[in-house]
Amino acid sequence: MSKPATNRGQPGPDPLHFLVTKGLLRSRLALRMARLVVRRQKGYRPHERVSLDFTLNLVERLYADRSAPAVWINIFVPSELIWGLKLVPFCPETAAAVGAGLGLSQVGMERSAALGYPVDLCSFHRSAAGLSAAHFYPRADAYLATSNLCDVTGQMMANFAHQAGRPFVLLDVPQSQDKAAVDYLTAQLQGLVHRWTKELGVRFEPDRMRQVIRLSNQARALAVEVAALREAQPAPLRGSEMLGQLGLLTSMFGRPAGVAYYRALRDYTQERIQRAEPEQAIQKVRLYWMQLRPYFPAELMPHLEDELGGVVAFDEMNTVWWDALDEENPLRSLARKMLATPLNGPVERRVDSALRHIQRYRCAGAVHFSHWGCRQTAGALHVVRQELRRKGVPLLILDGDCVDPTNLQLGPLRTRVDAFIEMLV
Amino acid sequence: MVVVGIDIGSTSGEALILDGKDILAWSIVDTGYNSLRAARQALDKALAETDLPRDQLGRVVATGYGRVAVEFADQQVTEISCYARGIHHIFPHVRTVIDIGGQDSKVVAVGPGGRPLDFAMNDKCAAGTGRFLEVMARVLELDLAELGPSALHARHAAEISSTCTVFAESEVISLVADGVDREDIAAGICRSIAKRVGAMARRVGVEPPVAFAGGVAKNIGVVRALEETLGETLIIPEEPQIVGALGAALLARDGYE
Repeated sequence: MSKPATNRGQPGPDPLHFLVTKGLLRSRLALRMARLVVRRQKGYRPHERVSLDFTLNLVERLYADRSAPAVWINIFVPSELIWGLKLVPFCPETAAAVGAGLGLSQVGMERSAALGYPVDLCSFHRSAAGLSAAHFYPRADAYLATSNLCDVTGQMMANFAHQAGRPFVLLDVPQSQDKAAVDYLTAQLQGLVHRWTKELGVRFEPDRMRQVIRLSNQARALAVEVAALREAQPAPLRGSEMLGQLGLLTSMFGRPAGVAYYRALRDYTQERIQRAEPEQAIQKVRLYWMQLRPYFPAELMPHLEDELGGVVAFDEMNTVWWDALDEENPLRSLARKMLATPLNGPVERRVDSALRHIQRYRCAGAVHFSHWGCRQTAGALHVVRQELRRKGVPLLILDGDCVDPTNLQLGPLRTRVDAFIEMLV
Repeated sequence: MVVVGIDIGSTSGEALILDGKDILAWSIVDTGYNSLRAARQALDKALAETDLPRDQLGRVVATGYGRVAVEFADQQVTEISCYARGIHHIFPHVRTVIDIGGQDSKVVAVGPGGRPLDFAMNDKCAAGTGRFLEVMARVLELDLAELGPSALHARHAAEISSTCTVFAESEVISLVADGVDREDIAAGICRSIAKRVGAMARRVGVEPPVAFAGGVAKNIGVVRALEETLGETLIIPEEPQIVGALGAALLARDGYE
C-alpha cells in the first residue's frame, strides 16, 4: 500500500498528559512563566507573540484569576459585548480546537461518547462536552449563544448551563438584515445587559463600552489593511496559519491586544512583501478556502502548501464582513455586526462573498473543508458548488474533521487535493 | 522513447509499456500488501513480454492509491488525471469516464486533450466499489466473475441498501434466509452499486459519451444497471483495467510536470 498518510500528533488519551495540561492551566506561576518565555524566546513572529500572550493572559483570567465573571460564548457572539461589560469570554468551540492542537481531542470524544452524545454530532461540540465534563474547561458564571448558523451550539450551551446551574441566554438572530431585524436583536442585547446586571452584577458603563468599540474599530481597520496586503502575488502569508488564528482573534476584538496583533501582522506582511520573502516558498495555484481546517497536527495543509504549491490566498473566516462599529450606539452596531456575517441568511450571501473574494484574490479555484457534523454549511453546499461552477470556478469539497484526528482519512483526501491541483495547474 | 505507466490500486496493480503511440506490453498483478513489490512485479511481467532490457526504459509515472510507494517512479500523478488521459487516448470523443475500482469509485469530466475538468470520488465507505461486490459475492457463494452474469437472469431485482457495505451484507443474508432467488439478489447488488455511482456521476454532470473503466467494468450486471440508471450506453475499453496505467504512460511520454 501507499506510504501511510498519518495525522501527526494523534495519540490516544494520555492521562498524565491530560492531568499535567489541566494543572498547568490553573497554575498562575506556570502561565506567567510561559508568558515570559513567549516574550523572550526567539522564533515567534511578532503577531504570534501578541496572540500567545493574549491567550495565556486570557487563560489566567479564566482559570486562576477569576476576578471577573467568566461567560461561555459561542463563536458568533461578538467579544466586544463581553469585554465591554467587564466580563471574560470563553469559547468552548475555540477551546476544542486548541485542545485538538494539544492532542486532547480523544479525551473529549471518549468522555462525550460515555455521556451519550451521538457520534454524528459536530466534533467541536462533542469534544467540548467531553472536556467540559472532565473539568478541563474553566468554571462559567453564565452562558450565551446565538441561534444563527449552528443550532447545536445553543442546545449544548443550554445543557452545560443546566448542569452547572448557571443562567443561559440564547440570542435569536434573524436571517435578514433589515431595520426590524436590527431592532429585534438590539432589544435582545439590551435585555441581556439588564438581565446580567441582576445575575452577574455587571454595569453598563458607556465610557468603557465606547473604549472597547474604539479598540475593536482600530483592530478592524488594521485587519482591512492586512486583507488588502494579502492581494499581493506571491502571497505573503501562509494561508493555513491565518486559518489557525481565527478562534483567538474573535475574542481579541475590543482589547488592546487585538490592535497590537493586527498592527504587528500588518507590519510583518508589509515587510514580507517588500523583502519579496513570502512565507510559502512554492506557490503554483491560488485558492480561496471555505470553512475551517484541521486543528490537530495533520499532513493535509503542509501537503497542499509545501508539496503541491497550493496557496490559500484568502479564506472565508478571515473576512472582515462588518462595517466600523458606532461608539455612540454600541449595542445596535454589535447587532448589525452579528447580522452582517455572510454565513447568516440565504446561501446567496455566502456565494456572493466567495465570488467577490475569489476575484479579488485572483484564485483559480476554491476548497471547502466540510467539517464533520457541520450541517448548516453542508446543507447548501450543492448550491455553492453550482453557483461557483456557473462562474467557472472549480470547487473541491473535502469531507473531514477539524477536531477529531480519527475522522480524517488522509489517503483519500490527498488524492482529491492532488487531483484538484493537477486539474488547475 | 519507451515509457512506463504503473497503476497501483487496492486490489490490482497494472504496468504498461509505451513506445510512442504503440503499447508494447501490459500486465495485471494482485496488489497484495506491498505496493512497491506489486509495482515491480507488474513491471517485470510486462517487460517479460518485450525484448527490452530494463535500462532502456525512460520515464515512469505511477498512479493509483499506491502511487507514492512506487519509489522508482519519476513522478506520481493521481488516477483522476490518468483516467482522463487514458480514456481520451482510447476514445477521444468520450466526455465522461466512470471508474469503479477495488476500494473507490470516481467520475471524471474529460476535457480537450484528456484533461480532467471536474471529478467526484466516493466518500469514505466501501459501498459503490469493487469491495462491495466481493463481499456480496462471498455471501451469495458466487465467484466474483459469476455475479454479473447471474444478475442478468433476475426476474425481480431485490432492493438492497446502497449506503453501507456492512448493512447491505446483513440485508443480503436476510434475503438469502428468506429464500429470495440468488439471481434477484445479484441484480439488486448491481443496482445498488449503480445507484450510488449514478448519483455521484450526476454531481459531476453526465456528459455523453460516457466510458466505464476499472475492474468492475468487467461485471456485466453492473454495466447494465449503470446504463439503466444513467440512461446512457456505456463505452467500455477492451481491457478496462489498464486505462489508468495507459494514462500514466501517456503523461510520462508527454513530459507531464
